[in-house]
Amino acid sequence: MTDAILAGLSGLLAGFANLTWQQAVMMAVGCLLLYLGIARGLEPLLLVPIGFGAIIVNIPNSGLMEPGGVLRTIYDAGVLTELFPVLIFIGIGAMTDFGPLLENPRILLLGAAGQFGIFLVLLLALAIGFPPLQAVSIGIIGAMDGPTAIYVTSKYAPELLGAVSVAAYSYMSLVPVVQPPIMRALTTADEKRIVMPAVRSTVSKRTRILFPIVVTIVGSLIAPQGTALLATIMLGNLMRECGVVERLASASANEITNVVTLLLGISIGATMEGARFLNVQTLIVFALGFAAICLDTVSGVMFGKLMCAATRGRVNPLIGAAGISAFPMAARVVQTVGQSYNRRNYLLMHAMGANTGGQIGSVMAAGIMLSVLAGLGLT
Amino acid sequence: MVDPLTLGLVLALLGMGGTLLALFILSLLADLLKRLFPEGDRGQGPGAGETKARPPANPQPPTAKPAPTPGPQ
Repeated sequence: MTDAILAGLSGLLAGFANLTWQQAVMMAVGCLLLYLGIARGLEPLLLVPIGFGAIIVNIPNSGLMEPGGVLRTIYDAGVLTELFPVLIFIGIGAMTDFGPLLENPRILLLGAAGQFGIFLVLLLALAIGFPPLQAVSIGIIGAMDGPTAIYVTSKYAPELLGAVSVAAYSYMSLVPVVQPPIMRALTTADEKRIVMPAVRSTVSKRTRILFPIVVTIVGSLIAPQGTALLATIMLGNLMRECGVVERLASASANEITNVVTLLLGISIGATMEGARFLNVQTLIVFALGFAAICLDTVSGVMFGKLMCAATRGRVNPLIGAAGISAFPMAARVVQTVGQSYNRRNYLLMHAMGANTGGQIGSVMAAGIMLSVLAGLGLT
Repeated sequence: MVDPLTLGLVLALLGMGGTLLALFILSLLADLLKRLFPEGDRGQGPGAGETKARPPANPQPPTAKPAPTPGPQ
């Protein structure tokens, strides 16, 4: 009888008895993510489920990520198969208005320049000694685009998924803090005060409908490995613009995105097991991710200066900072910084154009990188 | 199998150049679409030439909310 009671008690105490310091630290990290999401409002849609997932996966003997465990099942079904990121992309497409971009299509080039950090950090990661596919996954943090980072990392370096995802979403939420000092440092006072004319609506409905179709076909032909990403964001946008499938567009932008966001967030949190997450490699990933957002901003603003020179001062270089994707925070940052130097200057719609260009740019950059890797026989 | 430095340089060169070129091509195509189907061109078929309701040309304000915040981007 006594033995049976003791045996039963040992089962009740097993959680405490088997708790390692790494698990305790990761639970604290999960609580920190919850705090940032709930109290500070930083990317709450993702940080709340990620933080909660990080807590529960580090409870000893819970078996959540064991084969057959509930989180393992969700992870295998949605993350390993790359299903969740592409479903979210349909929703993002359904929420995105490419109108400001179509008003001035040249701004799309800023969306390309804002991705250069991906490739520069990839070089850095290779120089540090990361294997090629891990380096690619670290570099993709520079896309400043969560689903793209998750898609690439789950495909090529799933062991880094937790670190890359948390870094990507954390740095996206830090855009308003990280970008302004770089923007101020790289532009002159005169450049910051450049007034860009108001955006006039000159885009027909036909153009809005044809744009996602053309981008899908041409973009996918250029970078076939990125078709899943590009096609899904454009499908969502086509449903939004065509106006004949409002129910699908609405479901994509709301119900589907919400459900998938929850499952994706908790799955990512589930990859943050203490024994695997707490290591020097994770810290390096975070450092390189930070370098990526800084380099993206630098390249975006520098390209903005180039466009400013090429157009004889008609483009305010600050809008280059919005080319990094991170929609719509980066565009809001441009508006705020621009107005701090000239209160009559409304850069918002131009920055929105660069920002949506950055969304296309990040997907194209990922697709091109994957296609080059495939061409080199590395995937 | 290429060495890491060569791989990095190839990816950086083709990645940055390719992304820039691809988006340049897409910008040209977007421009072409605008020219082929300008606003107010009421061709055949429902909705041709119509434009969606847009925000004011010169956005009001520093305080106005610019656009709906997408969820997890």
